[in-house]
Amino acid sequence: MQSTTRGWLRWFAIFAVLALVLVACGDGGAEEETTTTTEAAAGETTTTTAAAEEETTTTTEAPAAGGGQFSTAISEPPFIDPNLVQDSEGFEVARLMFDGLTLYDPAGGAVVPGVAESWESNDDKTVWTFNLRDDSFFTNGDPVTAEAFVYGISRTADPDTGSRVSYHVGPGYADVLGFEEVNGGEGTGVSGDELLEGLKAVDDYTLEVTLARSNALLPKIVAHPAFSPIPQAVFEADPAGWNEMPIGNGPYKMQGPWEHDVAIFLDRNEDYYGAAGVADVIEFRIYADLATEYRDVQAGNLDVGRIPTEELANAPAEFGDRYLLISSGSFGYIGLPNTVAPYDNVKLRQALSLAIDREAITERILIGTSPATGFVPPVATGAVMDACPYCTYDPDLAVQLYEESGGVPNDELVMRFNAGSGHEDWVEAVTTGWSQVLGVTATFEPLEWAAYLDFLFEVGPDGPYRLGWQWDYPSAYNFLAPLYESTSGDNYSGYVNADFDALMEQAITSLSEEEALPFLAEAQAIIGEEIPVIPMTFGTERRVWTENVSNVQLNNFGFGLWENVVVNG
Amino acid sequence: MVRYTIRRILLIIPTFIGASALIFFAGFALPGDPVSAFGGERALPEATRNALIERYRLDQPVFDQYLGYMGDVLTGDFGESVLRRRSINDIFAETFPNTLRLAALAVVFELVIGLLAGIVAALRKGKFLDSLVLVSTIIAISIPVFVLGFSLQYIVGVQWQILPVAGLQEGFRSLILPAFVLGTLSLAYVARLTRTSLAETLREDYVRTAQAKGLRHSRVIGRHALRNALIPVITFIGIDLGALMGGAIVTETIFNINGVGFNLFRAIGTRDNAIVVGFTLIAVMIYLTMSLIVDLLYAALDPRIRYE
Repeated sequence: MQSTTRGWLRWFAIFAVLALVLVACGDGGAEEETTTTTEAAAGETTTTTAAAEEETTTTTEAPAAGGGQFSTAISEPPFIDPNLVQDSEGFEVARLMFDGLTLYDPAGGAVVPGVAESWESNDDKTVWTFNLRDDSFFTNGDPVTAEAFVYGISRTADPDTGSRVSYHVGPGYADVLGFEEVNGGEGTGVSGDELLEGLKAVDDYTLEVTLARSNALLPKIVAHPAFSPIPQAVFEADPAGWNEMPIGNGPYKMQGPWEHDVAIFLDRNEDYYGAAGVADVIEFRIYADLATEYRDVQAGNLDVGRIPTEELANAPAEFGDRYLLISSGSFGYIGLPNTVAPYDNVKLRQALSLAIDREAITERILIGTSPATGFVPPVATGAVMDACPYCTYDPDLAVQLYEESGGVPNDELVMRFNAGSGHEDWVEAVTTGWSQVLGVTATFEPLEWAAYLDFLFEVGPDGPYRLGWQWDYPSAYNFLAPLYESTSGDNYSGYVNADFDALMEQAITSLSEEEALPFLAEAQAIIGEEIPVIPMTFGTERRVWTENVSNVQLNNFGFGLWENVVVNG
Repeated sequence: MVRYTIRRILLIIPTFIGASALIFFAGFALPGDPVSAFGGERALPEATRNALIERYRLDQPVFDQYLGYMGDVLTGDFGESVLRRRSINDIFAETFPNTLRLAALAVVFELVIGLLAGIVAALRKGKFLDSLVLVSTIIAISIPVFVLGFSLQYIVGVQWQILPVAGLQEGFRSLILPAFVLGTLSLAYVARLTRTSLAETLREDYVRTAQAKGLRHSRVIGRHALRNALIPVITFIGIDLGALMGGAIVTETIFNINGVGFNLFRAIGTRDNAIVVGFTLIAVMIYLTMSLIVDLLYAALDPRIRYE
């Protein structure tokens, strides 16, 4: 008995030693952080460690109000290089580091002056002149000149950059003159060495943009990070390292290189020309799993976080006034191959749409999103409420239209979607609805992401499929032209309507956004009747936060206005 | 012994070539390609697409691509991810230390708790403690990893707030929960294995002899019985460590640890072939090395085992 106790003790001793070794190896950062209470004792020499001093360099200039550090969460973006940002996560980080010609207003529905103090255009909106302020600097000290914009925008368009968002500069979007020559050309193997013909630095602080055709929406379009100024010398000195630690001109700058899948730390840019950010340091902590992220907010380890589907119902009660829900500019829909029989029959498309109980689905499954009543989310300028008369739940009319349309072959249809992204439940609800209401055998088939893309773009869909659209800039035009114009590369349903195309042409060449509104409204009426796709949901964005922070806001893009967040003392 | 070691090392070469070819060509059999996956839901401009295809040699015949890739691998370059435009070597260098630390601590848990439980159960065979170990190991084996992970996160991290929920920001403290979760399954196996093996050994003649000589109980068990009884356990733990170093998908994802398994899993989902092939190749090499070490350790532990 005695001897076994001693045996136990030995094992515990071994464990204790191993534990101590691991503590010695791994710990450190956390403890040092707690010792960095900066007391401005004049004349006294501080005895903090070297590591601690590094931590405190950001707080040497104590601001009058605000200060402090808080953490918010993102998923790992592929890029934070503004010319390449392709997801909302990268966008959120790049937005704080780079100020473009214009900036989205806090609500995200309009734009306000950024580096461009003012802008004007010629009468037919083909030549735009942006007057830049002379007090915007990159955080390495270089001034932000018109050349930096010429370089940055051209770099987005250069095929050698390999940017997924180069379309922002091209037709249907900004449509800068010379885009096709550069973007459609062979490339030279070097990113950013071909400049767009339509971009001209008249002098250091005057940028002239010539478009291939009239576009009254240009000031809204150029607020996207794809149009950011880039310090050419910095990029060219180390092209490979640029995406690890870009140098920008925004209210925040990177504290150190991107710690992939761990965190991105931003320091306030003290030389920023505009309103200074409130917090000293913003930590974008990178999460792989929403449930983990949410639990970290519950535990108080993360200040602001998103909400996993399974917690959507509980979160408002649990967090009370530390919960925020906003409508965002995203649109979820069920696509139909408009050129493939029987989906070329408009009555069938209407019947399928009428047989979906969107209210029930958004209430029980896609909690918090709103049922789509049209093709453009209400937060976008030019959205027509209730533009879709077939987006109500009307089983009787659905059956009638289905009978008239002749139905689908063998009364069987399969809906495809990408697996593992939270679409399973609502897709099942939709197909069950079709089966019950229309008396068909509707099934669904989840595909892996790559296989799904292959199905959509290479094979071509032969039945209903799921897709979504996130706006690029806050206008109804951006929800209409890309998805339904016959020439658009994103018009996967293959919808063709000459009247619709003509209205899009009239809208984009209108001399002001107001002038375009009637055309946009008429276009929505056309597709409301023809149902090229089945509208499902208008998106929402949510955040919860701890008592450590306040003034958490989101704009209609669903991006946090992190520069305004106050760290509670 | 030396000849055996050399032969085993040489055997790694064909295994490696076979594994790499299998992984590489399997990637091509799947629908879609990395450049399309990069483009996502929006169509990529033709010129951009071509520039990327050329940069990543995707325009070459599959076999040429494989040869080119293996040529790079021999120089230590495992390629670049199309979707993230990052070197596979960099990504692996970032993630492997995390996976290694997690695996090491998980093995410590396996050894300490698993061995203890196994020894106690063997010494108290048929008694209450034995049954307790039996029941708890069955429970440990039956609970899915993510259930255990979520529950511990919620109870220990959110309710009690004594350990961090996720991430590695707090060093060793951050590793305790994920390592425990990761080690649980193997811990249960180790306990059962130790119990069976030790109980058997305790019935051996030489143990009885040692006891008859009047040796202290602890010495009989520690020196004589355990040393022999542990051979199968060491085998298991060695192989397990090799497997753990290949990454732990679920545990790393739940606990937000930037490790090998999580990166591999994400790469499979996003069709990031370069990461899948590169990481798998490295994992294969590690696994082969670990099993070699285990085999060599046998000889050290058991004088009866000789490699000629």
